[in-house]
Amino acid sequence: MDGSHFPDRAAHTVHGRLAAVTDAPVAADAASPALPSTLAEFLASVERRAFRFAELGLRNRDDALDAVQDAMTKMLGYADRPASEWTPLFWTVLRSRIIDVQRRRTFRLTWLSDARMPEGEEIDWADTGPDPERTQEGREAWTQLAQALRQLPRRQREAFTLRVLEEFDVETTARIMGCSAGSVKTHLFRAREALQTQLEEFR
Amino acid sequence: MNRQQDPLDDAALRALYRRSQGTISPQTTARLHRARHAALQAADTPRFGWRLPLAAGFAAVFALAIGLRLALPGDTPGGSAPAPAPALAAATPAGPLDDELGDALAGLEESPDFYRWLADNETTLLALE
Repeated sequence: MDGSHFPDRAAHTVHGRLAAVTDAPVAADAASPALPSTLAEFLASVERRAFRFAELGLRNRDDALDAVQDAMTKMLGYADRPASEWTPLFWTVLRSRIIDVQRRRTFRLTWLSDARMPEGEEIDWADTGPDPERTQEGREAWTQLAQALRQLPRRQREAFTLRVLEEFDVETTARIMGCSAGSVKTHLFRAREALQTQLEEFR
Repeated sequence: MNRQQDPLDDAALRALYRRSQGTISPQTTARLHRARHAALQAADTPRFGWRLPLAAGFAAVFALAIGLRLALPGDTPGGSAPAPAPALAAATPAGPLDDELGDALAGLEESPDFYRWLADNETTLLALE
């Protein structure tokens, strides 16, 4: 039991509703086994996933874009590494950048009265599918999931996103998060419990 | 702990997550592309360009200058002081300079004040005795 599945099937009624709107062709293949041949190709393949990951953590589009760009720039220093190492390195760097932004916000919150933690911008969603009703359902489903994930503590959100949504194995997730595999399992289990409660409230 | 394994729900969440990547607005997508190209262009451009060799050259020149000054402590900063010395030596012959010096020393040796002091000293010593 590595905490990679929800503890209660009843919590998935909302997920069943999500599944109805998520059977469209995916835009990016998070679990693609093929390794990119160049760093440019790798960055092109990961940029959208990285943006969504940063958007969940930072709740702000501009900050998320800045974090992704910073991570891409920093990845240039690892261009000579084997392509198999690029993925964990990139997510490690991106996670670090996101934490840096969050800490700067905390500092501003401490010293400046007018600084506020973003409550959560409107989800960046521009589905132009032929079915407006289905488009709207998809937007609402993602909004619900994003809000639920944003309610989680940072490490729980990271564990869930990396392990479940990005489909990294436990060891890779632990490397990215800079913790032990056991900690990943613990964070993931707690994330599932919290998500179960929150997603039930959405119903 | 009765937990049912239901990967279908994870699959649904993953599918939604992947769909969300395809629904990023064109503005944000364009900014992502620009960010990626900017990062890659920064990789193609040498980080310091011609400034690094230039700075290294200046540093080497300064180090050489400091080393030369330390190796030759008698040199004046301008470096041109040794040149006039031979000219001065040529203009002033060594012979007359030595004669003048000898005369000055002889004058000191024959200073009347010195003998007057000696005489006073001897008088004082005799009085004490």
